[in-house]
Amino acid sequence: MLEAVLASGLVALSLAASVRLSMVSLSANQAIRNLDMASALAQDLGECWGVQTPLCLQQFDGASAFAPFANDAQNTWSRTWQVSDIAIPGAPPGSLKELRIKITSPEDGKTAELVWVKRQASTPTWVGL
Amino acid sequence: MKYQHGMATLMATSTLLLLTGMWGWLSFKSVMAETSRSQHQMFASQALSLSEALLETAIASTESFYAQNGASADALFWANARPQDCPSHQTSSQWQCLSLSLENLPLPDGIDSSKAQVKLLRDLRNAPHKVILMTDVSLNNSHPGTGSRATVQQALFIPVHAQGSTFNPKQWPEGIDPMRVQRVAGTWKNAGY
Repeated sequence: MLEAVLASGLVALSLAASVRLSMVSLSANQAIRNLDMASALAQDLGECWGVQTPLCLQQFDGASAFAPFANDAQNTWSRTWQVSDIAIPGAPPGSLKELRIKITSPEDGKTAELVWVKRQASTPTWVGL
Repeated sequence: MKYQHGMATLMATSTLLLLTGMWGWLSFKSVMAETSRSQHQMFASQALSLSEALLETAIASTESFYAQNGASADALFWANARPQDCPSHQTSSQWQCLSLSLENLPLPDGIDSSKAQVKLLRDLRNAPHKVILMTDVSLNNSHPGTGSRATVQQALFIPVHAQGSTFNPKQWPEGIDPMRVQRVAGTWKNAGY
């Protein structure tokens, strides 16, 4: 009888540990997914700022709140950006611009924030030989 | 007999639990390793982005310096060039290397200024007009990815012979100011944690 009780206790303990482990794993997987998506969104917008094609410019017209995952429409994120001039001593205004992208996403009842910085000098690309 | 059977059950259960526990622990370690890999990859990307930001800042600063100082810009700019600043594979006397001072540069947030470097080098004998600009950046303590490092480089065209009798404006591409610093297409990037 004692052995059966001990065995049952061990099984119950392992089940509880297993459930806890699964929850932590699930949460970690979700964090990875969010991190990868936030990073990709920020880099995408940053690259787009550099090339300035019509398709890219559309991204800057979009709403800041959006749902990045089609299967999780209630999970809304926000993506905001700000372009500013960085002063270089002796250089005219607009010589160096900075794009600061901020992506916020809900995570475990809190808000995770990712900030991405991109700069672009107005120096042209050489088209000579 | 009953006691023996109970012991066997307990031992079998314990063995199974041990094995399951080990499997669970390994799975957990695997998930954590994947999380860590994903984070490191993002930190490396952020370091790369900041290294590019510093590169752009240095390009703008170099262009501004050449625009302000005209014909004397080249001599002034390279006045502090030292052989010690050259990479190990470019130590011969034909290479001119300069470590750019970061004091007057507006550094992007998140950079460890004590480890950041901007270096410029050129082959003085064969191509004095082509300068290779390299930046090396590490993330600082305020960033969760402290220590992530990235390097980038960009070649610049510097009009060192854009004046005098040897200068032929007809050979210059239309729409480009011959006195202006310009990028040469192609940038090499590297990032790591």
